Amino acid sequence: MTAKKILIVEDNPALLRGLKDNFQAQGYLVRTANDGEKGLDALLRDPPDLLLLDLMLPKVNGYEICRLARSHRLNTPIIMLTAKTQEDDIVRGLELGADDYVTKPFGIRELMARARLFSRRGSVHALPADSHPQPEPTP
Amino acid sequence: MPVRCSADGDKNVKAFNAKLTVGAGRPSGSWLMLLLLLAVLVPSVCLLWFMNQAVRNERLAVRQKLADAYRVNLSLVQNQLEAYWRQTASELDAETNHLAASALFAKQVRAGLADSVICLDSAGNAAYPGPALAPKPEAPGAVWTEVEQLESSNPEEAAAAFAHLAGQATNASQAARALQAQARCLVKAKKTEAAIAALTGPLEEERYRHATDAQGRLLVPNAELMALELLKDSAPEQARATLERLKARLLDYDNPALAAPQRRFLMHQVQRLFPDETFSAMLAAEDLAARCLEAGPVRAGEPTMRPTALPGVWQFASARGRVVALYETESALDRMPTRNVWQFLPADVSVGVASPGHEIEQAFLSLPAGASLPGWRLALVLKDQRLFDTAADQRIASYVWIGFLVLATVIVLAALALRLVRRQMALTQLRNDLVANVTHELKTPLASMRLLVDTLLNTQPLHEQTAREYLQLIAQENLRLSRLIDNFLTFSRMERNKYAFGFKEVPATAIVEGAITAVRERFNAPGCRFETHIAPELPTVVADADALVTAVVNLLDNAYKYSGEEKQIALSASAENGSVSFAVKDNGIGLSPRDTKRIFKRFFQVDQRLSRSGGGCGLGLSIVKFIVTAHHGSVRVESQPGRGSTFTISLPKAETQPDAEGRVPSNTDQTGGLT
Repeated sequence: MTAKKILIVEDNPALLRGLKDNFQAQGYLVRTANDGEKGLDALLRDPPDLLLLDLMLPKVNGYEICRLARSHRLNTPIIMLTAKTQEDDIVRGLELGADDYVTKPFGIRELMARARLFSRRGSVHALPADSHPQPEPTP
Repeated sequence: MPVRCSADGDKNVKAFNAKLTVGAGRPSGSWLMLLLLLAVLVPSVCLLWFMNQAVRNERLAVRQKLADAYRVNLSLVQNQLEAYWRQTASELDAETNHLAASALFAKQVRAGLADSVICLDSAGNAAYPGPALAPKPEAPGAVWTEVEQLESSNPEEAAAAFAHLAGQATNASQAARALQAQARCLVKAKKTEAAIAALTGPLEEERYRHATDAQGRLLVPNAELMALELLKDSAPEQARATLERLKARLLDYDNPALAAPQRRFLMHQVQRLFPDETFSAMLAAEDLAARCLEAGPVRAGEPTMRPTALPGVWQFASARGRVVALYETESALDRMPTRNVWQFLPADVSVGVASPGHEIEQAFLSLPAGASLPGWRLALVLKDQRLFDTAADQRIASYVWIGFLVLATVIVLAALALRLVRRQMALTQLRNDLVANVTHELKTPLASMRLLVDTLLNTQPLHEQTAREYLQLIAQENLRLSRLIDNFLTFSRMERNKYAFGFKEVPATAIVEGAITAVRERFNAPGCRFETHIAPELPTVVADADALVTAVVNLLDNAYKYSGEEKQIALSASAENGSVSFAVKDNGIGLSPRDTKRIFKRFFQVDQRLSRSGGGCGLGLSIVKFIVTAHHGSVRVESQPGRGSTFTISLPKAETQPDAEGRVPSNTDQTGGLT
């Protein structure tokens, strides 16, 4: 099984460091970005197998990245990380194309479990094969 | 412990958030607008309606007020009118007892009390002018009849016969009649001169003065009229003398023997012969009285103005009912004393009287003319109708002005209220955002710390270098969380005006050093150049050191937050002109001139997105401003977009500077600030 690629977009350096170390320890290929612009750039240049996305980001916020990713027909699973706990915010994120929503502060084990779930399932979006580079066939 | 805090905070925040959502939602906003609109529209519409009504009623009201004011004047005139007629009633009665009816008639007419009068006897019948005197039945003698028969066949002889009869007559009347008949026969016999001689000669004698003819008429005046007809063309001078005698006789009302019909007849004859001759008012008075008596019986009755049987003629009886004054309508109106009442009236009105059945045109106000004039009306006329309009227009203008002012006030108040409400709503929105921000800002460091701690706990084996890095990160996050909570608490106290400052005299250097210590570790990171310039021998300031350090650290935090990858931040402290300045300079995003005016307001953040990167709730600068203001200092900013900003705090230096040993200044250790 090839290493899964994960992109973490988070502006808090401490959180970013902790996430990076944990996912690396689990064998993921981790790329990071500390603002929305860089995150979007990395996402579109080389779509990962999983995207961990903070919502409140400098320059381009998480909702916008999510929307843009889906409008580019990227079917990368997206887990939103946010301190926003209101139902409206969660619904908005899910409607924009997020696959899961984890509120801060979270337990790392729970997050890893959810990440594994998406990695196992692969894409939940059944999009045409020619619309984007397909990272991996569904098992 | 942090977890519990977070959970509690979360609950509170949710509750607060829910409350704010209810308070600041869109529907309530539009309801407010609608309410304000109603608050303006309803009074405006009411006011306009009221003004319309007021303007309509104003003319009536002014008319009513003027009428009330003039009614007093008019009733004074009414009293005067009444007094005049009462006096007239009593004046008409004067000397009724000891004057003959004809004399009384002449006296009253000459006095001008009436156009004419009718004097009544005690039985209430007309005494003068009255019917002709009753003829004294006296059978002419047989000789007289013979001579009369001779008159038509031989006038000359008849004349001689009459002359003879006159000589033999036993009383004056018979003699006078014979003389008159003689003259008549002489005229028939064409002996005019002899006739004139007979008429003007013997008949002028005193003894014939009361002689009457068979019908009871005075004989002499008739003879004189006959003489006048004969003399008129032939001997004007003699005619003039005769005329004067006849006039004197006709105007001699003291002689009751001359009855009114004969007098009137003779007067008319004289006027026919001599149209230039007049009897002044007497003939007109005689005529008027005669016409009245012909039209119907005249009764005295009450002393009031009443119509007679003759249209257009009014009678007014005297108090005791012995004299009835007669007036033609025009004359009666002229006699009303309304022209002499100006002392009772304003200059801009006039008063008139209207007879029954008539109205005075454009009468502004009318009252009954009084008890003496039943059916007559007293009317007040405005000389200038525009006066009334002017008065009304002035009142209307004042109404319009008041209405305009009230409307303007309502609109201004509503505009102010709207502005206030909008500002409040914007503030509420900002508070709402604050809650979201605070939630985020509290949860992010918590999440980092939990993640790092979990990682430390779960990782086996623990690499020492990594562990150290983690602990440093945790410490940073912890510090950040503390500062955030400090700021939020400060803000909370500030909001409730509960912040208490502990003022002490502290060296400015201590404050700068405190701030540097607080940020040193963070600012020593790669990509950040931090410089400090502290002038030597800085004075002391009276300050709450902790609060001031917070203020300076907030400025430094902002500088850090809003600068890019290569941060250049400089903190300098200097003293000049009795004040101490702390300046924080950065090379960050800078501020537009518009923003520099607003940044010290609560919740304000120049760029919502950017704030996320450095964290923050838009409270920092408002806290700085609050603290500096409490220290009687000022904070200002110089900035250009893209070229960085310089924030400068200026504080007054302490009045008593420590000389050598540091005497205690009088105002040390005071507790100030807002309580």
